Amino acid sequence: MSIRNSIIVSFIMMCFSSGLNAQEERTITNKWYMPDHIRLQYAGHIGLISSGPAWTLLKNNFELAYSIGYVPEFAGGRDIYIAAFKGIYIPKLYFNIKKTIIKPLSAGAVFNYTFGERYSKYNGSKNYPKGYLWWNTSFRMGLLLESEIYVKIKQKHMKGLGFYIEASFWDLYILSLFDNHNSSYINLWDITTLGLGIKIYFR
Amino acid sequence: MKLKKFIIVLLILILFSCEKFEFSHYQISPESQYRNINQRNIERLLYTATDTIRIAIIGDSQRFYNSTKNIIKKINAIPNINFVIHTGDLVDFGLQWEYTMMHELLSELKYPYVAVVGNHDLIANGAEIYNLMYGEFNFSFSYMGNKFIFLNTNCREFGFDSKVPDILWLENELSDTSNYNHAILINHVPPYHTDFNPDLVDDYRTALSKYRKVLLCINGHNHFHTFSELYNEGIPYLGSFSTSKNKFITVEIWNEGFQFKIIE
Repeated sequence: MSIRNSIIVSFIMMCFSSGLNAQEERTITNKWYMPDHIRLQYAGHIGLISSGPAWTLLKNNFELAYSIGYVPEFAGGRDIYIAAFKGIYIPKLYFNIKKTIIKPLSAGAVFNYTFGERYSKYNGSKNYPKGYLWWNTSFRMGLLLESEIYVKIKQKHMKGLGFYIEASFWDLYILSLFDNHNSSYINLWDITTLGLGIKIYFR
Repeated sequence: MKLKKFIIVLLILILFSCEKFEFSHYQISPESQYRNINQRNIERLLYTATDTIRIAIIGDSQRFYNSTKNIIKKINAIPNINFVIHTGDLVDFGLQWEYTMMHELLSELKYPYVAVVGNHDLIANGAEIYNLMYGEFNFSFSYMGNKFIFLNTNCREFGFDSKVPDILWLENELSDTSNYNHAILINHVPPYHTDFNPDLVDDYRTALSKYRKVLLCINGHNHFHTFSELYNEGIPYLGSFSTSKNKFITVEIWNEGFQFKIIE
């Protein structure tokens, strides 16, 4: 089994939680539901490090990404595990410079879920009946802006590498800004979260 | 090659230190200069020759940055305030980001501020953040003959167990009667609220009246000012405004008693 296949299979297992035999693997690699790249991201409220499969859909205009993130104790005070889901619209505004494609601005939405009873207990438990807090403490959503530099690579298992920076704006932060509009204290930069990442394209 | 490595290490250090690269909403990562705020502010208290203490009381600042800023301006315009008491709920969602935002705002106060822990401060990893940034939940200090006792009364957040509020600790604090003139108790949730452990209300009241030294009991949580002698035990209960009401209270304490004023 090649490294590529083992990576793909591990992600299929992660996404669909089903096992496959070797024959199925080969026929499945080019199906539409196969991810075409893997994302590896630093920060951005989805983990110190997060990774997962991503799909480019709708004639390269839309991207779906799923990831699992981890914040180790030294960085977050305690171990934190996060699942995230992104949907990003990529306008056809490419700049080609030789083997490099610049995608200046994509926009989308991001959702994350923080695992653990200490985050979920506030929305329905013995001491916290549903509605005691109006917001959900495990589940967060945000808006996303992303810029990417894509470099074509001619290799058997890799078609290209993308380097991206993203700015995200999350629900509770947006609310804090919105409730203090015309503020001399809190502004858009205060509620901005940054992330950096690499996309490894294999299709 | 050495330069390349150096640049990579430098880049990693920048990424780790830049607060814009947040890893999780629930991360616990107070900056080192924002640690132990209560203790450091208590050490800043100045001792004056007069026997009257003047305190400003604010609370429930949550996500009300604009109105909190206005209140800070008003407090800074009053001369001779000795310190500011925050009655809890510094933040709304218990997030590190909010704790940093709120402390940086409250640092604009000309006077030192001391905060008791509120129920919103404890959400998710808020308890750990409060402990690192502000210190212990239960603490006290003496100032010009008076003892200020800060007590955690957020019973719901601790599963209504028998340790919150810590009655034994409270009694112990009140028992060294020879070392203070009046005691002033500060807590977030008042004893008549459903977030207060009903099994401990009587113990709490007994502890407060036991040594006949408690001058005043100050709470937050209701967002609106209240003042009454709840239980006819000679102890008045003063509720603070949320900063969102654009009002706050000043209290003057002297040897024989106290008086308070609502400032709009």
